[in-house]
Amino acid sequence: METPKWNTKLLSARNVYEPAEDTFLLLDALENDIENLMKINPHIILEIGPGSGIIIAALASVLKSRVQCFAIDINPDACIVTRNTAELNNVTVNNTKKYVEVLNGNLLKAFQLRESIDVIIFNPPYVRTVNIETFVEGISQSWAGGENGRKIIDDLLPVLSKAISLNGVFYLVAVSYNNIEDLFTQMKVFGFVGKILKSRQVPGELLYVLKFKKTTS
Amino acid sequence: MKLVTHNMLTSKCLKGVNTGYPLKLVVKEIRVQSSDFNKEFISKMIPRLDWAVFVVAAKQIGHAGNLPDQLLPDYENNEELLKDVHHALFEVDIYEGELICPETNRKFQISEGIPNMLVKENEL
Repeated sequence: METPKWNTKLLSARNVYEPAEDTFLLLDALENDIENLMKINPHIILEIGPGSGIIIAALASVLKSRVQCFAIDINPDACIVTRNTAELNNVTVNNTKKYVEVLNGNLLKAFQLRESIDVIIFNPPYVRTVNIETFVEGISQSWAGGENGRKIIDDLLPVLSKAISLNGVFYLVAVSYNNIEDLFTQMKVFGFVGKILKSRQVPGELLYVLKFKKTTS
Repeated sequence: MKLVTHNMLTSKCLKGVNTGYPLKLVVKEIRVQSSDFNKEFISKMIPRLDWAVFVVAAKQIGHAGNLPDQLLPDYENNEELLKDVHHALFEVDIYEGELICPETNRKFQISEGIPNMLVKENEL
């Protein structure tokens, strides 16, 4: 996958973070895993919290008309930026364009859960914070994860199995203090088996990309 | 916001709402943009749709073509039908409008094609 383009000026004007180490680790992990991803023949892909939008834009440009990509972000500015990034990178085939559907919302709360999403990707706000910051509107929503950085992740996990299709997969970015072993244990309870797809030591933190699939698949 | 998205959205997270589905659509501005027709993809998407909800919405926005109220069994081989589905599902963008909770009439704005599905803590 080519590294997607993004509009630095728009990100700055909208107060959305530039892609950083966590974003690029996720991009690398997805690139390495793209053949496995193609094997499950995905039709619906959803990224939660796309921020700059480069991850979903990269997938949309690789998978083209075989999938519909969705992106949902709690921050309206990130929604604008994500759509712009998707447009900057979208591939033109036969003079027609492929768009990412962008929504402003919180996790999966607005979705009907009918086991129809083949791939969910989540680079969550995983930074340890005092809880209150999580609920303050603004840019802290892009990183503030409450105690252990698990607040937002733990909100999502219980509903995942009702959202993801039988052969579907879930990619999650996490950091060592999120307690990776405990994430695997929790996800097992919710019907998923997981593995570490990629990890990278960056200044101050050890980042992971985890991949989960349903135990029944 | 495309109809594929409308088909998946609910206001169920609102306090006191049972199903919150389908959301009522109010359309103020529509933009049509052609996109690649992929026969296999469209046939695979159809079983994931609430067909009745999709057809009603497509008729409402005036882009239903010849979509039947009930899905025909041999739809995978009906290219005309698949093209109509593709058009209504992916080529028509509701650029300005509203989604309305069928039970509480709570409105969700669609602005520049992006629906705002956020609800406040006290609405949950």
